[in-house]
Amino acid sequence: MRVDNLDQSLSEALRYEAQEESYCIDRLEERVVTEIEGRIPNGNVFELLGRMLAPTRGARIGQLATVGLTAVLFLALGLFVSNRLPIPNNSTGAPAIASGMHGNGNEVLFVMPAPGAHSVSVVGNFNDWEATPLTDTNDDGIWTAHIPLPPGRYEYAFVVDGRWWGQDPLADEYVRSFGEYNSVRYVGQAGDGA
Amino acid sequence: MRRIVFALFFAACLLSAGFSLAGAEVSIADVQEALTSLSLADSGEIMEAFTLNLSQGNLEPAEALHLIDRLTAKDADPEDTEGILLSIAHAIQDGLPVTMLIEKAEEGLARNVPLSIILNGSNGQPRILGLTQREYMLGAVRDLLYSKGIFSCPSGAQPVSQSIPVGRFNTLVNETADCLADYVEAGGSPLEGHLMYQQVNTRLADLSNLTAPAILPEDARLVMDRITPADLTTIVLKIFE
Amino acid sequence: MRASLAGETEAWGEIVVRYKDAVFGLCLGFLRNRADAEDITHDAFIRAYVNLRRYKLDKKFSTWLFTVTSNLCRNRLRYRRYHPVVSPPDQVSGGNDPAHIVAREDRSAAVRAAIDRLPASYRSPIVLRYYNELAYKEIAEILSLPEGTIKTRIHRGKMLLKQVMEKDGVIHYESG
Repeated sequence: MRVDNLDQSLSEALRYEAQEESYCIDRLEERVVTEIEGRIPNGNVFELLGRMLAPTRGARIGQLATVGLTAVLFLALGLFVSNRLPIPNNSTGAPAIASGMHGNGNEVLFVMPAPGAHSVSVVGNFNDWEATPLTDTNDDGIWTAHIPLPPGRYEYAFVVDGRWWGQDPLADEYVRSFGEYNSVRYVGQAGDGA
Repeated sequence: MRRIVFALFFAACLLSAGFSLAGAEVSIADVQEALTSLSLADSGEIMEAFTLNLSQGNLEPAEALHLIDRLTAKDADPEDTEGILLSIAHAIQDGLPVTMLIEKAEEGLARNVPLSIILNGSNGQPRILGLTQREYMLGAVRDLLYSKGIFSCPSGAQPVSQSIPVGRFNTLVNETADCLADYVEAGGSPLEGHLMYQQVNTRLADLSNLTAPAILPEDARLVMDRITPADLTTIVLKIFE
Repeated sequence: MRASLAGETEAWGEIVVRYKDAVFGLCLGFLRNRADAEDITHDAFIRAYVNLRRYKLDKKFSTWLFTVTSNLCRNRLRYRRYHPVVSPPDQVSGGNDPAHIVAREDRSAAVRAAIDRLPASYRSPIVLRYYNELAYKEIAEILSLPEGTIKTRIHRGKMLLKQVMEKDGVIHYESG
C-alpha cells in the first residue's frame, strides 16, 4: 500500500497548529479546578456576601455605607409605588446579594462564558422567567451568579445581550421548549457535592 | 435644627418602609383587581377558578399576579389572553395541578412567543405543545393513575392503602405530564412506549433522589410498577390526532 | 478514575493535565478558531466533571470525554452559524510572518487553509483520525455514526482537500 503524502501532511498540520495555539491552555487545570471548587456550596452566607461586596476592608465599609443609603432611598420610594409594585413571591429572582439572605437552599453556580457581552442573565422556572443578572467582575468573559435554590428540578436558559442561549454546559440535561433549547439542573441531589 | 430634620427624614423612611413592606404582601384581592382590569368576557369563570385555587393554597397569589401583569403588559389579542387564563382556570376547576401550565405560559411570554402558540402549540418542526395540549396531558395522567388504583388523599385526611397525600400526588401528575410533553417536543414518537416509560422513570427517580424530595421513592416506585409503556402510548397518541 | 468518582477535585486536575492537549486539539480542529477552542476545552472539562456520575466505567474514559467535547463543539458550531464572529476571526491558518516561511510551513499553512474550508461533517472525523489518531470504531462512537459512514466521510473529506489544494496550485500530491 502506497503511503499517502496527504495523511502525513494532515497529521503534521493539525499537530503544528495545536502546538502553536496551546499557550492558551497553559494552567487550564488550575482554572478548571478553581471553578469546580467554587461550585461547592459555601458554609457561611456572610462569607459569601463579604467576598461579593469588596476584597478589601476599607472598600468594604465604603460599599456597605453606599448600599445602606441606597436602601433607605428605595424604601422612601416605596411610599409612592407600594400599591402596584409587582412583588415576586419569595423567589430567588431577587438580585444575588439580597437572595443570599434566604435560608435553606443550595448555592447554585451559574456560569456563562460570554466574552465581549454587555449583559448576561439567567431566566428560568425559579424566577418566573424574569432575568437574574450574571456578573463578570474580573472582565475575563466568564459571567457568573450564585443563586440559592431549594432542592428541585430547574429549567432555565441564559440571555446574552438579548439573545437566548439554552445549552448550558453545566446542565444535567437539555430539553426542547417552544422550538428552542432549555437547560435543566437538579439541585440538592442526595450524595453529591455539587 | 438640622438634627431634627434628619430625624424626621429617617422616620419618614422607616414609615414608608413599613408601608411598602405591608403592601408587598400580594393578596387575593390584588389578583382579582388585576383580572378585572383585563376586561375579559369570561371574567366570572376565570375569577372564580383563580379565587378558589388561591384560597385553597394551590396557587400563590404572587405567582398569579405576576402572570396576569405580564399578560396585561403584552397588550395582545384579548381572545388569546383570555384563552390562556381560561386554560389554567379549567385545569383548576378540574382539580389539576397548574404549575406546569403557569411556568410554560411565563416562559412563552418571556420568549415573546405569540400567545396563540403558547395556547395552542404548533405542529411544525420542531413540535410545540400549547397549554391546551398540556392541560389534556395533566388530566390524562391523573386518569391513568386513578385507573391503576392510585388516588390522592386530601390534606388532613388519613392516607389509605394506595392513596398519596395530595401535594405529592399533584407533583407526580405534574412531573409525569411535563416529562411526556418534553418527550413530544423533543420529537419523540408516541409509539415508543418503552422510551417514554424510561424517561418518566428517570425523571421520577431523579426527583426522588433530592435531599428534600418533592416525590418520595416509594411514590415513584408505585407509579412505575403499575403503569405500562402501552398506557403512555395511549395518552400521547391523542396529542397527535 | 475511581478517585474522581469520589469527587476529589485534585484528581480531576490531574486528568485535565493528561487530556487537555488532546481535547484542545480536537476543539481547534473542529472549530477552526482559537478563542472558541479555548472556551469549549474549558467547558468540556467542567461538564465532564459535573456528569462524572453518568460515566459508565465499561467505556474507555477518553472516548467518553471526547464525546462530551464533540457535542459541545457541535453546539458551538450551531451557535456560530447564527451568531457569526463579528471581528476578524482568530484565523488559525493565516498571519504567518513572511520572513520565516519555509517550504514545510508553507505546506502546513496550505493544508490548514484547506481544512478551514471543509464542511464540518467531513472535518470532524478527519480531525479525530489524524490529530487524535483514533480507530474508526472509536470515532464512530464519539460522533454517533456508523463506522461505514465514518470511513466514507474521511475518504471524501480527503478527496475534497486534495481538490482544494490542487486547485490553489499550491501543492501537488501523488494521486491514490
